[in-house]
Amino acid sequence: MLWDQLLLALSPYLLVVCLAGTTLGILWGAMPGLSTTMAMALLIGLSTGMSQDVAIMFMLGVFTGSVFGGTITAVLINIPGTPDAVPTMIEGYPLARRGEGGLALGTAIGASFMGNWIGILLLIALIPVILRLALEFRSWEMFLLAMWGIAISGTMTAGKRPIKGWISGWIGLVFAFVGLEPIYGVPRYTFDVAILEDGISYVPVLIGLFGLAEILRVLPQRNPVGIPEKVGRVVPPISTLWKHARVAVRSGLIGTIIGAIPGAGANVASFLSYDIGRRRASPEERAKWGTGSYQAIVCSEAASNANIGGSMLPTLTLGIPGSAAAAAFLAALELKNVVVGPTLQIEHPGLIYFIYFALIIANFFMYGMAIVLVKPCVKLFSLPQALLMPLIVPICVLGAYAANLSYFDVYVMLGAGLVGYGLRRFGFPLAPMVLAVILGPLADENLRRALVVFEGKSWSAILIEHPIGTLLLGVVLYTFYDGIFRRRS
Amino acid sequence: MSPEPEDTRSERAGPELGRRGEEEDASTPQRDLAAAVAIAAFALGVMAFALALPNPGSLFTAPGLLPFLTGLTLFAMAVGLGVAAVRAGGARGLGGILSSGAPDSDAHPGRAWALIGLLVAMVVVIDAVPFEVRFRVAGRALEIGTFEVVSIPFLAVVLRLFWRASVLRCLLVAAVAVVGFAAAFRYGFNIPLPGSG
Repeated sequence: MLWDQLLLALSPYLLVVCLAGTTLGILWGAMPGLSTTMAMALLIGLSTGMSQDVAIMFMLGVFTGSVFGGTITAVLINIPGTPDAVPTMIEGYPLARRGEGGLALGTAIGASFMGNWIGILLLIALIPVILRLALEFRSWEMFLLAMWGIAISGTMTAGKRPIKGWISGWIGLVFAFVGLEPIYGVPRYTFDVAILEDGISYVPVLIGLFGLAEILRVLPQRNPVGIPEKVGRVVPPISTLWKHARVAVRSGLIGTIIGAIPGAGANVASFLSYDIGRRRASPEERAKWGTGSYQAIVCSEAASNANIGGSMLPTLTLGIPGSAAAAAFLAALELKNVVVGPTLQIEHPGLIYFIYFALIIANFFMYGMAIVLVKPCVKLFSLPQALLMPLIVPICVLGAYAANLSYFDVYVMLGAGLVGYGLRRFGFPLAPMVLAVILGPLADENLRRALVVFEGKSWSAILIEHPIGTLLLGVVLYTFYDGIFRRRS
Repeated sequence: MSPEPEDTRSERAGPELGRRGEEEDASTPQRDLAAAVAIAAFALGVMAFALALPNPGSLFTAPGLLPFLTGLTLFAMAVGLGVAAVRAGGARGLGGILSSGAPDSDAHPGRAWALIGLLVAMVVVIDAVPFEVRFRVAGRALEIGTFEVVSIPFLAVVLRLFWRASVLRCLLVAAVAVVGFAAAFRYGFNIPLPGSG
């Protein structure tokens, strides 16, 4: 089976698809304002017209490419193409101004390649363990896992104000309740509108929140992009990378772990790794941080790229997306009738191996294309956002419609975009909302099932009989405690 | 371009960096207070509708159970956000909520509202106007539907408003982009477009 999947992944057509996806991803990520999640969200609609293998190859190519792409603008023109490239921007831009832009980018490319490898290897190592554990999960555990996912996503994306992340998640939960509820078929929050009885699909919500809301936020701003500077020779410096190999491994581990936490994306990983790296750096090295440190670039890039493999871990084993971009990948898989979760290996034998190979191939392509594309990307920077952003509007409409061939979904996308724009203006993160729209039905159904099973039992009996559930309950409560008390102090 | 002052750089690379949220900078106490009031009202509505839902079984399987609990906790969070905002001085200067205090203040409210209006109008018009023309080119059946006919002028207006190129250039870019996307979906991936088959 492993061999068959390898041969399938290495078929010329799929290699071309993966190369195209990676190239598109790098170019997309390099353009300021166009994020990885936006790319992934917009691709869901397009993936409906692709076969399963092609869709997986293409989307993982775009995912891998776009996470790196943001680095190019961050280093050369001091504008992070994607949010996770901010630490790289802080370090890379001063280097570029000293004429070391090519070397900084080369270091970033090498660190990204290493980070991806760490994420993929940990994904391969940990998936069998998590899958075995996930089979032990019953309704109570699934409910708690879903609620923890929403809560931790809120904590991780809202910085010092976790309450804003939780509010965003809770609003998403309310949207998830719209429609016929699964046990009795009672309509909830449908207001006698028949089309609402089918509920709100999360695909148009995702496109609205990360596509349209971003256009509404960025387009009216007047922020001219500076003239790109000369790049120099972009070759990943082996000696620099070797010198920082230990840091790269540590950052890769951080990136993978953060990736495995639901909703926490590459931006959280790169910031956290950068912060930890600074604290652990030698005094001489620490003195360079903020003024152009190669070690800092390795910290940021290895973590943000390892996040890709990490985010696939809960996505594939539990059906709980590790990041907003992984949620888009999950949506694309669902449109292909692939139900991820504990039974993935049984219901879709070989698919996991195919995903491993797709990630590995995309990583190699990312490495090669990143070196090739740096200079063409500089030309792309001269295209104004005022030209690029409006062109995404038709893709939002087409993407939202294509998922279910329903124009109602286009209205949902529009509504989600307006809500998302409003929430962002008021400082609320959007990733927890998406996660809640996905996990809400799962939480609702499993809570009620669990309560029926628990009827007549004492709390102490429940806690003793369900050790995994008890552990998860503790984790959920700690997440709220941490958010309310520790972060405030 | 002058070099950045040393102290600013060290602040940016400081320990708080790891804890920055993606939206944290957009927050002001005034905005938080206004958001808290709106969210509290929304949460009360969620609870009221949850209580009104029929319950064919026991309390444990009630369709409104989790929606009610969600509304209740959302209300509590809104109160928490509101209290924190008032303590931070959010009750002063509420009038300037939408106009200042955030890094996106360089966004012109008029331009943002114009964009929202155009996008809403575009989505509604695509739904409302039926249009489909089929023709053959070199033996191949092609079509132009509502999506292309409506999207091209709307996109051209958005481009003219923000990109500020000539009308002809905007129209040309809009036409090439919309027809290209439509062709990719319709002929490349066999996905029907909104407003046509």
